[in-house]
Amino acid sequence: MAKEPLKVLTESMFYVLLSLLRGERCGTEIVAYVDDTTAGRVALGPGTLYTILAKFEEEGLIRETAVEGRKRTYAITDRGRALFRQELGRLRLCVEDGERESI
Amino acid sequence: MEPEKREELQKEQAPEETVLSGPETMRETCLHAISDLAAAETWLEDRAREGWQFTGTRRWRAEFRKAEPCVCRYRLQPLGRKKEVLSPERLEVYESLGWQYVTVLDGLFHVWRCEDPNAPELDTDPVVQAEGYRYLKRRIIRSLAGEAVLLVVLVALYVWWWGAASHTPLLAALEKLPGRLLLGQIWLILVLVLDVREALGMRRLLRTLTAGVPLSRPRSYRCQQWLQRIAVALAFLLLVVYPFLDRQYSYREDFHGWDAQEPDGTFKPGVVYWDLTRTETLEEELWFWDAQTKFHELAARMDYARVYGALADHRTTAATTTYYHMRTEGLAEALYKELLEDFDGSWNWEPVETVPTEELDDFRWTAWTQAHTQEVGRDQLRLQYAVVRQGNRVLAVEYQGTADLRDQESYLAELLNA
Repeated sequence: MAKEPLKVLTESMFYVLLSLLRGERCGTEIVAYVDDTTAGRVALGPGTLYTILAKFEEEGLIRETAVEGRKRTYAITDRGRALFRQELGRLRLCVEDGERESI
Repeated sequence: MEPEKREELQKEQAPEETVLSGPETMRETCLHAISDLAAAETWLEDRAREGWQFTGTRRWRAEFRKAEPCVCRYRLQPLGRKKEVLSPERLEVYESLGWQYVTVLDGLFHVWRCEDPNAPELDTDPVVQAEGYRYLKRRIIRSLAGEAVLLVVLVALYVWWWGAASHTPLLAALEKLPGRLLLGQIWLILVLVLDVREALGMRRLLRTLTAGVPLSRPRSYRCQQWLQRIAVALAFLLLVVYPFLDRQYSYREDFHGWDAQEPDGTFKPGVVYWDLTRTETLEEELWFWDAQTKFHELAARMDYARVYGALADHRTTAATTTYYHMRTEGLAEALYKELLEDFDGSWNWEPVETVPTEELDDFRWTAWTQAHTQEVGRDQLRLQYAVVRQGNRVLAVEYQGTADLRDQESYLAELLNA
C-alpha cells in the first residue's frame, strides 16, 4: 500500500484525535474517553487504536510525550489540530447539506 | 535462611510446570493464509473447540496443547515492520480489553486470543485495519519481484546452457532435458504461482477492507487446507522425482530418459528400434541391449534403442536408433540439420550423401571412410549413419552390418510411421 497522507478521517480516527484535543492521554485513557463520549456507539478495538496511533505518529499528527514504565502518553500536534478542524468542517457541511435536504 | 529451606520455599513458590508430552500435544501444518486471515482464525478457533490450544509454531508446523474445549476468539494482526516487538504498554492495553498475546505466526502475524465473549473486537475499523497491511504488502511485492528475477536468470542460464554453449542447441535441449534446470524452474514456477495467488488475494482483501467492509467470520478453511496439502505433496514429489531422474543418465550420457526395457530384456511396446533380423541373417537371437524413452516440451516422444546380433562369421552387427516425434515440422527440419552437423566429411566420415527417396521427405547417409574402417580392425563392419525425416518425425540410425542403409528406404519409412 502506498504511503499516502490522510485526507479523510474514519470515525475511529476522528475520535482518537478528538480525545487528545484537550490534553495528553495514554492508550487506555483514549479507549475510555471514546467509549464515554460516544456512549459505547463507537467501539475502539485495541488493534484499531494502535494502528491509528502508529499512523498518526508517522504522519506527525500526534507525538509521544512521555514514557512512564509501561505507560506511553500522546499529544496532538498543530498538524493534527489542523487536520481535525478540516475534518470537522467537512462533517459540518455534510450535516448542513443533509439537514437542508431533509427539511 | 538456611539453603535447604530457601530451596524448598522456592520450589513451593515456583509456578507449576506443565509437562507436554505425547498425547498432551499435537502438531499440524500451519494454515498459510496471508490473504485469508479469517480462515486461519477459524481454524485456530475450531481446534480450541476440539480441546487443542494453539501455543506456537515450529518451522511450518503449528503446535497445540491439550486443554479444556472452549469457545474463544483468535485474531491475527500483521506485523508493522520486520521483527516488530510489541511495547509493554500495548500488551497491557490489549490484556485490559481481554486479549492475550499468543505468538508470532510465520514471522508475519501477531496472534491474539480472547476467551471473553463481551470483549471488544480487536479491529473495529476495516479502513484502519487495511492500513496495518502496508508492511506485509511490501513484503509480498518484494518476494514476487525477487522470484521473477530469479526465474528470468534461470531461464537465461537454461537458454545459454543448451543454446549458446552448443553448436547444436536443439539437439542438446532434446537430449539433456528434462534435467536439473527444467525441474528447478518447475519449483520456482510453483512458488511463483502460489505467491501470485497470495498477492491477488491480498489485493482483494485490501479492497474489501478499504471499502469499509469487515471480514466475515467464521470462514471455511477446508479448501485452503487441501490446496496447501496438494502444494506440499507436489513439492515433495518433485523432491523425490528429481534425484530419481538423475539416476537415469547411466545408459547414454546425454539422453536422460526413462528405462524402456521389460524385465525379460526386450523393449517395451511402442519403442522404435532397428530389428536386425530384417536386414541381417543372425546366427542367434537379437540382443536387446538398452532402450530409453522420454517426452519433452519440444518432442511428444523420443526413443533411444541399441540392439546387437551375431552374424554367421561371428562378427557383431549393431544398430543404434534415436527416434524423435517433434511437436512441429519446423522443429523436425531444424533437428534433421543438426543431426548431420558433425558428420559432413568431418573426422573419419565420408561427405554426407543425399539419398533419392519417394517415401520420405529427407534422407541423408554417410559412413566411415574405407581407410578408417581398415584402421579400426579387419573384422569390423563399416559403420553407417543415416538421418531420415518424414513430416514432424525424425530418425537417426547408426548401423554396423552388411546391409546398405541406402537400400532400406521402405524399412526406414515403416519405422518412422510406427
